[in-house]
Amino acid sequence: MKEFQTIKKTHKDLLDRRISVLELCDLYIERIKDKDGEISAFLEVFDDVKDRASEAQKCIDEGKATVLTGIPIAVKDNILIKDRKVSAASALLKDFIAPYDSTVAEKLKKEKVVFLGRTNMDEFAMGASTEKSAFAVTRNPNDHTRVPGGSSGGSAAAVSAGLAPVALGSDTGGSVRQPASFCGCVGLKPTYGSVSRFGLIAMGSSLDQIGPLTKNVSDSEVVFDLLSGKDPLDSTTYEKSVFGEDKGAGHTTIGVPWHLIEQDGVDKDVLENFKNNVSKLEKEGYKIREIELPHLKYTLSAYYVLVQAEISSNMARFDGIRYGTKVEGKDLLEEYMKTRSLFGKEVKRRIMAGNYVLSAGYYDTYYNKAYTVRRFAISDFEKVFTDAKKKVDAVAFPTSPVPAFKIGERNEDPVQMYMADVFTVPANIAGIPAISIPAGNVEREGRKLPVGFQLMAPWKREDTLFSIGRSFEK
Amino acid sequence: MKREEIKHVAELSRIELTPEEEIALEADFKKILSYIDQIQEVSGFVDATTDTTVGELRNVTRNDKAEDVLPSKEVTELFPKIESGYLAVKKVLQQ
Repeated sequence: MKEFQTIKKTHKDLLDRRISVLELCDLYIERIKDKDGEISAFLEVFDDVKDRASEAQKCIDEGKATVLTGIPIAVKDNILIKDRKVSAASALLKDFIAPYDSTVAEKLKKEKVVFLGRTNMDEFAMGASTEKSAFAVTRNPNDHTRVPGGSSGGSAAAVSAGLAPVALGSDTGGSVRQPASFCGCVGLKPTYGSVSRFGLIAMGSSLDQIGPLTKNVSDSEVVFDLLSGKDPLDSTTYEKSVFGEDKGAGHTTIGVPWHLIEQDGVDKDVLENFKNNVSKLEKEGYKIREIELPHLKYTLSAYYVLVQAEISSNMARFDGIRYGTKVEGKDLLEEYMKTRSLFGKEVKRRIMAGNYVLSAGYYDTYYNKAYTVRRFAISDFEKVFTDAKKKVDAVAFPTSPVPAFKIGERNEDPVQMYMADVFTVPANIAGIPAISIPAGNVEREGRKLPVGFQLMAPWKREDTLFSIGRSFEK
Repeated sequence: MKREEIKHVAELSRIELTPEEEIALEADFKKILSYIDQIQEVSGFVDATTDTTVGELRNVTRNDKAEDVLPSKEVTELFPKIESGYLAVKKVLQQ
């Protein structure tokens, strides 16, 4: 087979017998063997790839194939696949076997995709570099001395290095889009409530969404179409019928909040790249409008209050009593303390910060204030998306203020690491969909590092992202 | 956060810290708290406990009726420690 182009083209190749599912999967398994020793995108490559490939082939031979049948997919290590290990890259779940399927895994199984394996991540998805995994540091395929971004860094590195054509990630503050930007692939964070979170190991429950990492916008759309929709097991999900439907381009206006983007801390080359890409869209016929989102500069601080509060609650279940790793102690309290001391540094820091901002004396100062900022930020977006005279259909941002940084560079300073999320967090805070699309490179030490261009759209308007994204890719 | 407060929050969080970790966290929290303090510049107040209209978030309810659940064997197999089919836990109440 020539290099994988799109899911739809590969589907046609499979139907026309230009390639078999087994050949397709073998290609990726061989590449993983060849390259993953150095990149460490995968924590585990599944041993049943051949069996699943034969099943998918049978489905094709019987004429029952759908567009995703036989497509190999890598899955982030916080998404449950029944009877498979799922560790969230944590020592606390090192040998945990998923007792059920996540809704997304169930949907993909029904289409007979082939799961290649589980990909590395920051422990419990807390991080922006995939350096905080308990098991391995994933390297950026474009420069092995740099991070792939995170927390879905394994998934992004796998797609970018050609070790998987499609991967799933999860995005709480930018964990799909930022690694997609660092590695050079497409990353989608859907509307909060569009993809079921059932079977996703929770981090920040009001912010988490599962999203695909793909080689192009068309594949992102194919995966999103399958995964989105109502799930009785996640009460925040919407019926498919409420989502917007793209009526084709034309008169689309893109808002750019220059006041947030032309800032210290935004890399000079990244800013130039962004400006060039905005001009490119203007030449394509899009109307560009400067917009103001006055509360957005506070969203990163607010996010780190809200997410830590939610983390401290979600992490309380890891006590060594009911499942996961257990460390014996002389009494119950000691067992809790010793077991939970296996959490990595970042997880401990966030649990403690979360308990602090939720504690009686600080609740109003921190949690409620952050909640207020969230409300105001949502109103800011509502205004620009619905304004009678100056409405925009999408908002553009760089995905990350900087290109991929060096391994170890930001590891010691938590706030430096948090800054990596500055342009991605607003979409999680507001619950709106956002996509990062490869937008060229910047050069560092003679190496070309990918840079992502990010678009956000109103709630349930993923269609707008795909439509603009497709013309951006041309 | 002072050292004493760090120790207290760690205890509430059921996390055992080494003295080195306490020192490192003291420095980290200073940075983190001074960063998140930016939100104090925003005036206005929305009460998170009574507000129900956060953008598209909405309450969803269903009848309080048992639905499909995992077979108990699959759940008990996950227990780190098991005694005659029951979850084994260290004694909580002392004599």
